[in-house]
Amino acid sequence: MFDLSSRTAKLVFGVSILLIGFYLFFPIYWMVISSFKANGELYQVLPTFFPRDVTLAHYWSVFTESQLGLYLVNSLIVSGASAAINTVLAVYAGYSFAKYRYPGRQPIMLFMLSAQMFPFGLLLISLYPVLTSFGLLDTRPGLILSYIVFALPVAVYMLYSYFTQVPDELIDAARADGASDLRIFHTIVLPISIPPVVTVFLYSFMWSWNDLLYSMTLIVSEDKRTIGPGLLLTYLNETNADWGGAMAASLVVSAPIVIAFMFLQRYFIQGVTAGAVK
Amino acid sequence: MKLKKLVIATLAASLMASGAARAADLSWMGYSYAEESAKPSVEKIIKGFEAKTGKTVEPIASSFGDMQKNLLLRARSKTLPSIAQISERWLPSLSKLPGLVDYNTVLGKEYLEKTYAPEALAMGQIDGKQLAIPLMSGSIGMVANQAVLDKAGIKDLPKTIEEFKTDLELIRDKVPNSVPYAMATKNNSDILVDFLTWEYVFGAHVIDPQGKVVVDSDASKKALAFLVDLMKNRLVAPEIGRPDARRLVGQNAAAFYLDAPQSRAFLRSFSGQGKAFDVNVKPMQVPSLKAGDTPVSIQWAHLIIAFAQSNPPTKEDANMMFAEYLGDDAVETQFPVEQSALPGTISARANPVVADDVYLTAWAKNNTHPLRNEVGIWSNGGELTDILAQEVQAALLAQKSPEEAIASMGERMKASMTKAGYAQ
Amino acid sequence: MSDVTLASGRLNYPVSPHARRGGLHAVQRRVGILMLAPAAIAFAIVILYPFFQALGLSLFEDTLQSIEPTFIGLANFKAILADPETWNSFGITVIYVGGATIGTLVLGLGWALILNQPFRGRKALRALTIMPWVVPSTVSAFIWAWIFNSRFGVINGIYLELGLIDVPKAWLSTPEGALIAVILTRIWRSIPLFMAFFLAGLQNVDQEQIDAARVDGAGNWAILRDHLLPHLRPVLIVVVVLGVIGGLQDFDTIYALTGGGPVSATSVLSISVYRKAFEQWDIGMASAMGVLWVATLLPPAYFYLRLLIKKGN
Repeated sequence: MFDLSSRTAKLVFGVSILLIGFYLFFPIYWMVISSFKANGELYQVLPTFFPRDVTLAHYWSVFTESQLGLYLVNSLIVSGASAAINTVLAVYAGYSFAKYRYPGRQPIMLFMLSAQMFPFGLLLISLYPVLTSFGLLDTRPGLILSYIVFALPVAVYMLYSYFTQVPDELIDAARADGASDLRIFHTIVLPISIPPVVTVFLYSFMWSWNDLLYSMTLIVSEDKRTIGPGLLLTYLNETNADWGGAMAASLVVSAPIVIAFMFLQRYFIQGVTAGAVK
Repeated sequence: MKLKKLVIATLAASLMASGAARAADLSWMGYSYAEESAKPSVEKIIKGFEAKTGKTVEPIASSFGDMQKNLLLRARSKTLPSIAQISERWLPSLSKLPGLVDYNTVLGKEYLEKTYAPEALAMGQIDGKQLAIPLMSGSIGMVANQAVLDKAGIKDLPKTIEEFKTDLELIRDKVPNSVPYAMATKNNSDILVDFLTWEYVFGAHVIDPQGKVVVDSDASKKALAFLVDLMKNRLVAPEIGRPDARRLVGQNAAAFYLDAPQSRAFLRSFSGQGKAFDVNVKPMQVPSLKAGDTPVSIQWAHLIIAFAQSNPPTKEDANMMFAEYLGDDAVETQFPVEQSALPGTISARANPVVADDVYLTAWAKNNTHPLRNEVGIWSNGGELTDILAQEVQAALLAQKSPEEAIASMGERMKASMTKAGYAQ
Repeated sequence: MSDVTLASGRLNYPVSPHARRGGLHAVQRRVGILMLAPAAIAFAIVILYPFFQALGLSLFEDTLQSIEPTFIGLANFKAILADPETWNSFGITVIYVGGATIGTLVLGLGWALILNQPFRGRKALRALTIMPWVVPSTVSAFIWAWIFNSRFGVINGIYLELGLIDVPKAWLSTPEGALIAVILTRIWRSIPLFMAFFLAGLQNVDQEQIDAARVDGAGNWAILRDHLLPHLRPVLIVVVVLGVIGGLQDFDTIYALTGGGPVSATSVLSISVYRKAFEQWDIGMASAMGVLWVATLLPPAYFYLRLLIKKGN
């Protein structure tokens, strides 16, 4: 896109890539090497930029003493399930907004999207008794349902925005052949919409994956705890301040999802290209 | 189609969930159960009770910091546990919760007075009702690290604040990269305890027993100025909460800090040395303004509150049986000692396990007159704590002078107390 | 490009030509409503109902002292508007959301432009960039708290080595330091998402047009200003919405990094509402604060989102 043959252009390009790259990756590097330093080296005022002695002690304690594996599995289940529900709901709603016309369509959509501005903490106060009355407090299904709060509106919007670009001729042709609307949607529209659907799934997933507030409040049983509160309670709580362990644990819980996303990111960019952006 | 599936799945899940919650005879919600080091001790209590009575207990873990929040939310959704472990300073604010049992009416005043040490029992009383019984008690006092004192060449523990400051300077100069006094400068409830202690040392008070805010005094300003001076001289450090303080002391990087007697148990784990670290843990008297003053300490206890299982509650209720079991020597010579604190019952205190523990007896001897936490006890204690900590922090970080901070603290607290219904 | 018209005060949304032919059958309308129903029901249960509940609660005194909430009308709002803390919180939220969104826009766009250039290792760099976005927010708070740590942090280490300071500085204990730290963390976490959107937008730039401009003597800067930025406008709008929503709703990073402190230097609205509700037990007041937040945001949000929905067509 840019012509980098001149010296100034090269310089600007090089400096930018170094600065932004440093900002993006140094913290990751710092997490990784901190997790391999022994406490003596970790807790010193002038830090070493490469560990003198590599120790696996923090990893050992992560795997033997903490429940991190459990938290990770819980987070994957809860985030995966809520992202799936969110995506299914948003797929139909987005298509409905994009391709059908009925009274209240626009206001509902605008309202839904505006509702994304309601403070989550505020909703939590009233969500608590709602979940209790369904017997869903301190359960995974309860948390999964609550997570719909985070991403449903934006997910609906993203898919709506994509579906408006699916040509009506495609649908009309199938209708002329006598196919039902649902059938058209399932067999014709959906199969060509995989990238945006994946994008929406990932977007929803990230919201739940990051959550601290809801999980901290709605889940009290340790066996259902997710990684956010799990990490906080294990490493920086009332009785602990273990940075080495925190860094090792951070790496361990991040690894699976980082790897998965590296594979999925191609879809993500495709989905964004096809959807919200045109 | 999808909706139907979703609804069915949700219903099925909710049925399963509610089924599980009703299985046990009583539920115990507590923070010790959420702490790695204390969990086995709680499990012992539960096993003992189940073996003795045949009733079942469902333990619910909640971290210390989330405990009040969880109780409040559960009260709103009518899912309170049948037994809850609380910190003594939360009792007043929790005392309005529906269904809270007055132990006097069930277990009898006579039994309670016969079983529990009077000052421990008193912490559970509000308006003549016995709303809580002590699981373990003690005080928040000062702990010194002998190894650090040795390194700095300090022979005698400081008695007055002048000696204290001199010692802190010695430590700063002789022990590089140390925080001489690991004062709480982060986490509002931690700051509260440290600041209150020094308020009392300087003879100042924040709120009087009638609920009148009295913090705006010369003594308060002097107390805060003293702490600000420590900060200026790098004798205390910013960004230290209770856990950080424990880590610093455990790593021999701090000489003094304030904590409950559980300190020993925490330092064992933080030092990574276990019981071998005990020789370094020295309970001491908080330095006083002038020689001969009664040393200051603050009341501290873990209390047990119960929510009625029948109306009116009777001795046959599973949770009342459990409450009674907690007074048993089996519990009281086990749990408090493992947590390195004093038991609440008279008989457990006389038991050799407790009476012969040098550390515990030293602790008790050093902190004979623990004072009430006069801020945390009000129903708006959370807000008062936030106000106090914010103003103290502002002074410590030199955003305000001690005088301004105290004056503003007074104003804001008065407004908060007025709103909570206590005339100023 | 799309028919953005206000006909007789009523919005005239572009819909499918099929619908505009006016021949939409009732059956099809029913299908449309049916498809919307699941999402609408979920929305009503988990967002709408709690919101109206909160709206009601904001008119009540509902604290720990009161077992049953008592109706007090607008007293909560009066108290909140009179409290300087509220304004402080609003101000900090503006700085936080504004700073983070603008910062991410600039750096995210810059990074996307860089990764759009062909060079060796570009693919790997793109894949790695996803990392800050996908590490759990608690982890990002851990990392940055450790970097800014007042005793063992690497920033202090570098400053000390360079001789810029003599004793370690407690960055997170100064209002500016703490605010900068939370903003830096937020930007760091959001760059990858923004980059993905910009990169997607750059995929379908008309290369011929750019080549033509270059022949006409346009430099890199002119290309960026006259061709790329206008082309990216729709992306910009979407990204700003996502950034603002994400920033406003951010609780995890700030809570885990500074807890809203020191004093209340990083108490953005989400933290203040949480504190009022779950630390000070004043549910009525917390609700009022939340309602005030919504009331402030809704008008601009409404107009902006309306724009967005039209853009989507």
